[in-house]
Amino acid sequence: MGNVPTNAAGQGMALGRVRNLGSRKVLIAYLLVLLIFIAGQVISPGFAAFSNIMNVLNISALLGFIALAQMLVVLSGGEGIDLSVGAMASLGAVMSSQLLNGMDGNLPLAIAVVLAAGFAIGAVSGAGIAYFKVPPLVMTLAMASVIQGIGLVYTNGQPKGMASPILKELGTGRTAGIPNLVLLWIVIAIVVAVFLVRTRAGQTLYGLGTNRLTTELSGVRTRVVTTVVYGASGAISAISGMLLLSYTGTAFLDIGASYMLPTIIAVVIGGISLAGGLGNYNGTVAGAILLTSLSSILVTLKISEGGRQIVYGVILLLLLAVYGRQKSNT
Amino acid sequence: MFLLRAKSLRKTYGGVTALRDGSLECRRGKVCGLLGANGSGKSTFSKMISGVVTPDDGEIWFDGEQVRISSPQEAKKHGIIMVHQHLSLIPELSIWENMTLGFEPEGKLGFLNDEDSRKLAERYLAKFAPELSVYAKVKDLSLAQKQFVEIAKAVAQEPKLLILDEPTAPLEQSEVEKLFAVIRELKEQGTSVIFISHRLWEIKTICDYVVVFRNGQTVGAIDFETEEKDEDVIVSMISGKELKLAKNRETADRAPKKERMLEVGGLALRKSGVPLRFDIKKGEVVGLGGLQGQGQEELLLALSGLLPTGGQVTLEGRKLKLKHPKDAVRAGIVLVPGDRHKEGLFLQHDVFLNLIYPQLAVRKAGFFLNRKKLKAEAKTVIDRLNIVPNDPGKVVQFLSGGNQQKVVVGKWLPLAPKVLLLSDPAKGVDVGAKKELYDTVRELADQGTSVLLYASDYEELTGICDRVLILFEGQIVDELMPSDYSEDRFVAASLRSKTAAGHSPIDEAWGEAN
Repeated sequence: MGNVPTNAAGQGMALGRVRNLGSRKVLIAYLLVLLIFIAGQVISPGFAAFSNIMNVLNISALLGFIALAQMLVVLSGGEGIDLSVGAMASLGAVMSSQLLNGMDGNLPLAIAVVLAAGFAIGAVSGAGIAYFKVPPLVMTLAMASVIQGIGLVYTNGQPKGMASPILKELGTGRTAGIPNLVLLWIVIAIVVAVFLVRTRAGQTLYGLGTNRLTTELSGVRTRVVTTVVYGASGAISAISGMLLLSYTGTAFLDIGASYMLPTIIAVVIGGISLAGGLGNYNGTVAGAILLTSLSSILVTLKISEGGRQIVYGVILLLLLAVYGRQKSNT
Repeated sequence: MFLLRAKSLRKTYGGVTALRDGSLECRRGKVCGLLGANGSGKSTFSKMISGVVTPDDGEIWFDGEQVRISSPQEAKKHGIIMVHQHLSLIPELSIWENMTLGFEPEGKLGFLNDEDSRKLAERYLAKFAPELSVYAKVKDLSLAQKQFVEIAKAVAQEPKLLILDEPTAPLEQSEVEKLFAVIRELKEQGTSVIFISHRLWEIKTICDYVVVFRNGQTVGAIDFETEEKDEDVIVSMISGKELKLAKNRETADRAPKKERMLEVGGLALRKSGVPLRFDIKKGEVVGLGGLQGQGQEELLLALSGLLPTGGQVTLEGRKLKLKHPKDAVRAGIVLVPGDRHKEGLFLQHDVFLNLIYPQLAVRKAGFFLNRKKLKAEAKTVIDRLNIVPNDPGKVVQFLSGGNQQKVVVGKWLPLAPKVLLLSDPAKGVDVGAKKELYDTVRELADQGTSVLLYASDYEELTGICDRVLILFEGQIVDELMPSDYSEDRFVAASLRSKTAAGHSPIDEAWGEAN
């Protein structure tokens, strides 16, 4: 089940004891996932069936893509948080929908435009934070509102178009029984793991997140890097919007909105210190799977929507109480 | 007749003795100068008198009776008011509100009487800064003006004993004169003043007698009314040593270095100051001495690119533009900063990442990291500096202070720095690690690295430096060669601030005052 992406992501991770501090949290997250599936199977036979597991992973993947954007920002430290990932994903989805207009030939252009727009808007947030010292919380919250507005203007309130056949196949098709999005997620998890641990840029990011002044004094232009990190977060969120579209076929204006809060929770559950500089993507993957499994079992339990939200909220509170307590960075 | 008599005050903080035996007698209507080097206990002592710190032992007699002063409020009741070095004004409030805060005149029914408050504030502010309006907000004032407001506030409470802790630090010469005029006026009214300053000319100008602290003890007093104002006597009291010949150093017979490494010109640390000019030869270890906070750390930060100051910096004949630390690091000027936790380390990461980080930062490493090669390099550094434990995977925060500091130095070694800037590197480092650290620095220098070292401890400077520049208020005021090395010379140079070039605002002030 959920172990597939972790093992893949975990390969490059055996770096040192530091990163293992987070890996205990990841292990607990997977144990909880296991527990949920066992409980689900007992309550409602078929919950732990292969097809349902794949279903849960498929939805987890969508959360996982956007959570990657969140993770990079949190990892970069300086109280980094990106409250605009949901709005950005929505914008990415409606842009993709209109640019593609159901035709595969438009795919390269759509990808390029969506990535560029996401990066540019994210970089504006990053510049505000890095150069004008606007707190990330305020900057990205305001930006989320701006992005929503851009979406409205861009679509005239009524998104047109739809996903192209290739994109639809990516979002809904399966290869050897495994959803294509899950396979894509595995690939991305490996790429991110290699990026974080094996590249100069990835390791620089850990330094930036842990201690800005030390990083600056080491010769890194921290403000430029911060701007780029928020830009990357924007680009990843926007392209994740395209993947949301691949799953749903058509876009609506706040398709990504409901993902914003879960990305933060997934990041925290995954052992990324909210103070920055510690953790890695395999934890976030675990967090995304845990959150999705949790809402899935609550649906299965046939609790009313209101009751489900309450239970979900209480469980999250418990999880964060356990996971969120961490020593702050100096 | 004494107003205050403090006998054998003692204070320890968890095994560290801040004050061993502090005694002082305050005469009515006189100004008592309190002297001593940094950490000699004079601050702790004055805080006890003003109720901020409670003594562990000793007696305080005030106005003829023994008192226990357990809080600043109680001190105020006795008429003892201290103006602290760090100002305590509230920026958002106006001058008059600040000046009367805590002792507002009460009107009918116990309501505050703002009208009286304003008048009181106006009366006392006029003594210092008649040009200021009492309605001005404190946040809009200059540092000197704030200092005046703080002192005016203290004077307005009509204390019997006024303690001024380095009140002149932010003041210009003419402003110091104004302060002195007020102090003289207070004297005439019978107020006693304890005046703390590092500037000898001020002490000689305003004080009637001085009491000297050293290593947490009162070591002596000089009555200027009966005894001579002899600087040499004061200085040797502060330093505790008679003029002593420099230690013979093995470094003395090292061949003089000729090749210029770093030239600095036109670098002004303080706005009003004369720009600094000095150079460092290849393989030379140059010390930065003087009292704490005289610009040594700013100078190091300026050269490391973090604090852009203008001025010309030339490295091996090549002009540098130091706008960002990356400019300095890429040119080969690297900093071992004063606060290793905040500025030098990634505490939560392992020794490996810390040691390779500068290579990532200046993109000496490729995009994909060759971890094998980097590991080997880290291992070499660990062995060379004898970092214990010799495990690159160890998280830095679990290392001892000395080993942490070795990591901070060691991370630069793979870049083969040309100039090594060290800011008090042995702070909080045990003796053994300190020696290893300085051995490494010496070794680097012998291999051609130039070193600029700031250390608060003079013995660290004399132990390793080929020469020492003494800084005072952002200026180089003296240069000591190994033959000059003695604590006395250091203290004298640090306090007296005589320039080789012969022009510094302090010297001019000195001339005026005499």
